[in-house]
Amino acid sequence: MVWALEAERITASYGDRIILHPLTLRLAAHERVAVIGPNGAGKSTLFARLCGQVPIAGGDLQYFGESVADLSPNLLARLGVGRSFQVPALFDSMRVREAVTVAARAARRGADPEALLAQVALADRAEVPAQVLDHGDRKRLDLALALAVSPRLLLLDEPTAGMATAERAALYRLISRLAAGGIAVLFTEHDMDAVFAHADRIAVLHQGRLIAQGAPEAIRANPEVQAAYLGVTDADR
Amino acid sequence: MLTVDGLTLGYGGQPVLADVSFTLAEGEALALLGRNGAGKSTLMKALIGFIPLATGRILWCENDISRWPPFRRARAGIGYVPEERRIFADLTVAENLATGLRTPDPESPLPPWDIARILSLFPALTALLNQRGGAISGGEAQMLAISRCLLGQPRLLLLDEPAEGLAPMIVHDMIEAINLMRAAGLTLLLSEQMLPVAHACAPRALVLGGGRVQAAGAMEAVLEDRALIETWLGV
Amino acid sequence: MIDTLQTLLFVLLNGFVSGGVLFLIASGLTLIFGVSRVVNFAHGSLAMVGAFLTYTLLAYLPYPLAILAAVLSVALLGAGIERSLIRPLYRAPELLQLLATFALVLIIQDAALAIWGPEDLLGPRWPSLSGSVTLLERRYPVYNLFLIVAAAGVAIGLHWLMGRTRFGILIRAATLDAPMLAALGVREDRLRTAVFALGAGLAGLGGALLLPRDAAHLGLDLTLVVDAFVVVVVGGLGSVGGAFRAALLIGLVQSAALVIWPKSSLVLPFLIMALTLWLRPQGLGGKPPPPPGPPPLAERAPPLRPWSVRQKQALALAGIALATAPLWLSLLPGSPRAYGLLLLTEFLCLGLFAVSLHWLIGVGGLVTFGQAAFFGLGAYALALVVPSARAGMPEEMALALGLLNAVLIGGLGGLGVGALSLRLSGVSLAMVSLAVAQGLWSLAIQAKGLTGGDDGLLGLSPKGFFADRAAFFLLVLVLSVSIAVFVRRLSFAPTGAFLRALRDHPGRAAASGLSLTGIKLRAFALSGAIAGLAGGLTVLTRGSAFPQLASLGQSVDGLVMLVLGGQFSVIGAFGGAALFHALHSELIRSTPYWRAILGLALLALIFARLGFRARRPAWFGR
Repeated sequence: MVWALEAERITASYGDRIILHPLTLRLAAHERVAVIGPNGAGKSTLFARLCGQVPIAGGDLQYFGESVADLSPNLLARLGVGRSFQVPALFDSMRVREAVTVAARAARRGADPEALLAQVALADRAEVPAQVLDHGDRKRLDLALALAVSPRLLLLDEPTAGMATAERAALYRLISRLAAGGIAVLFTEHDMDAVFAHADRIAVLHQGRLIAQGAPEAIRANPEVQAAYLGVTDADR
Repeated sequence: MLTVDGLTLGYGGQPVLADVSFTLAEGEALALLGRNGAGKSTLMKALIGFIPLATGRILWCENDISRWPPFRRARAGIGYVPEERRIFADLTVAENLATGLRTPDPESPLPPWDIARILSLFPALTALLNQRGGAISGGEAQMLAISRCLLGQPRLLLLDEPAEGLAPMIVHDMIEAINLMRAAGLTLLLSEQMLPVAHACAPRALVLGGGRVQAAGAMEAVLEDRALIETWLGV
Repeated sequence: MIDTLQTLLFVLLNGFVSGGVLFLIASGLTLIFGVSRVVNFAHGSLAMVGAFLTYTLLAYLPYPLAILAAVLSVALLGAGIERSLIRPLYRAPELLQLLATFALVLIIQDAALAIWGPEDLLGPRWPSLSGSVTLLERRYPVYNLFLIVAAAGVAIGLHWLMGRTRFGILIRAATLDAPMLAALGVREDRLRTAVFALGAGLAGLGGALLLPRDAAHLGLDLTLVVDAFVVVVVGGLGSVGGAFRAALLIGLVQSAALVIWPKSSLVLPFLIMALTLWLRPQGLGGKPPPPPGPPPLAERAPPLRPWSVRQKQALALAGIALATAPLWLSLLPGSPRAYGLLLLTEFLCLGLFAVSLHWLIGVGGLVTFGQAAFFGLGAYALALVVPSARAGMPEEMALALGLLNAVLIGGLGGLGVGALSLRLSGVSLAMVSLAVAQGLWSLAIQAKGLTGGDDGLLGLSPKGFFADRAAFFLLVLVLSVSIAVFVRRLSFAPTGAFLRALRDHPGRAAASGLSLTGIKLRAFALSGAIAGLAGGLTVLTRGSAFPQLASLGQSVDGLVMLVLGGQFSVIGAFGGAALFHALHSELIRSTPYWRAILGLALLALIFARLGFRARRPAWFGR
């Protein structure tokens, strides 16, 4: 089958310091995969590589069977890869509707702005300038801009950071609907309840290595993951 | 010595910490526990003065330092070792140490730190003095960050995730070094995700979750509270 | 050709001399930038003050002491400038930072004029260093050898300072991570002042050392600062070692070029800069730029909204008032018609120029300091075509052809600068565009055969139908109004929307599938074309073309208009142009010190804007 995302032994280093050891990760359509790990485990490094912000140094990265190791972010967008930013990256001078319309036009893939606004529950704020939105609305607009490229693959970096609990739940319901509609979703999230409730599969990074990958129950029971997160080892139990 | 009173702050209008209060006596060690994003690092940054408070106060030796700039807090005896370590990558290890250097206050009750004493605490640094700061490993960088801070002769050390990303062997050394610093009379506030590390370094714990203090008390009691760990600390 | 050992030796020596002088000036600039992230336009002015001061002090002191005293005074002046002027600017948008230090250039320029007068002041010879020595059977000035030694001494001294002293270590640390340094108890503010004083002192030394060889004169400030910009960009912003290598490279290449092909020596530094930016945008000693993170702390642009009915009515009224100006001007007492129409035509040309800047800076967020390049290109494109075209076709066609050429060449210039600065933003973009414009400006002065040099090109007033001032005024009015409307509409259209997207957040624009290079190129091309048209029309208005049209003064005039009127709208561009033109023509008539007054006004304006921003409550984080 053709994977939405297929990272084959990709690596990253800074000078002679290795930040990501060879890492292999695959993602199919309909799948929601969470990448978790303690701070400094290499999540943001991995994310920057997947978004084309930093070129892949070693290994191969394919989206939908095409190698994208040296594609720039704008070409990824045209391939159908939408991304969100941890700190919402908006067109701050624009009104909400205008921002979404511009993003949809820019991607040349024709997402319907009105439908997008309805999807992220911003339809009633369409004429508000993005710079005066509150934090939750900014996060949702950021997601709408990611969706404006009509993505087949969504890369979401902490999509609910700083959101209230109710907003967070609603956003994950939307993400689940999107996945059900055939979009592959890769996300990072620090709220473990959200991760275990909404991911089909979880990949755990620790010290630049992928130490575990699998269904939520398996991850929860994995002693290595426990140790990475809490420092708890079998001897301590 | 340190009193945090009703501290509240946020980024971009979004509250990150709300109504955090605690005190720390001279020579004490307190561990901040909590998951990623619980606000531990934010609290540390607020204490050194990188982030302004929305409301609340920070008292240090009876002075309200809430509006002091970072350099003044550092000179008053607060040492900050950031989570990312923030080693000056283009400077050598020795030069990194020099940036923190300050002549000891003769009236300070604590014995002064100099390079020799630093190298006896972290012997591994001796061989690295002429290496570029950007080229050393995570564990070495952590030792360097702590040493750089100690040379400023602090009385309180803010250690943000000192064991993060370190190999298990190194974590062990780090715990030992932290306990040596405590024994030398330093007051410690450390944030830690790894419970055994926190346990080995501090007898008191403060659990942060959802931007608030969820529990505070003796480390043993906190660690025995399974429900607490499940809700606020566990995977 | 370099075919003998003798030639080679002298090429090398001359290269070391000019490289050494370049390094003396540039090292301070790059040092200050490294620690403070502020590009100090007035760096050349400080060097100029160093030269003038030395001249004055030589009346009382021998050379070495005079130079020492001058250097210390300039360092002190630098510290004062940092404390009073630069410190409030650290968090300001780059455009305002650059303009504020440029205001300082204007003020120092007039202060020097008041103190030392407009004449070139030739320094007396340095007794112990005058004369020459014979090297390989050719005579060589001793003072040049001394310059090499002095520059080498400064380079070694800086190397020692940066590598071996705590002060130097702190400077390097502050360049890398200033907040962390503060958390270690270092007084960042004092460090910045000290570094500014050090940089200023180096500039003063560079100026002072020039005196025994060249004259101190009022043009030194801009010549020196532009040279320093080129060196700093090639060397990598903030890198002293990079500046050293760049200065040496440029000095040697220039010195070799003087032997091989003298005419090329003027443009060579710019070619080296272009090549460096192409191959290694971060410069010789710079680091690769970080991946596009959150947008720079620029002033947030306000939303673009359609004109309200009332605004439209006001604009229509203004349009009618302008269109009927030929009528009502002749009704006024004192028959000011001809002069009034001239002023109005000039205002429209300036307005058009400001619109071209509004498109780049206001809509695109691309801060350029070299807009006069396109203005001048357009001016000469017209001036060179019209005379020959007149011979073969009706006057009106010749004018049309000239204007078309102005648009075309201006647009091509825009494409060129755009291509050069594709991977740049912020201050590097401002510095590079300025350097290119200054290169063109000096080309216009030197290429006498083509441009007439400082004598300019004359006889370019329209003949035939447009010889009538009113007819020509109406032509300019129609052209500028239609272009303003076009730019306004384009801002709403996808072209403009994509450009605004790039300004608001480059990272998000790229993630939305936009090709940033394409957008930037188009923005520069359009801006260049409009500025070119404005330049062409200005030539027709004045009947002449002079190199001043391509000068830095012209670029800054445009920026001042934009800041006066507001950079985010076409109305602001024209409003700023009107205000500026009125003030400027009054000022020039009333005082010889109009530059200083303009500079002070600019500072007042900038600080008023900063004060307004500071009152807004804001959360901030690291």
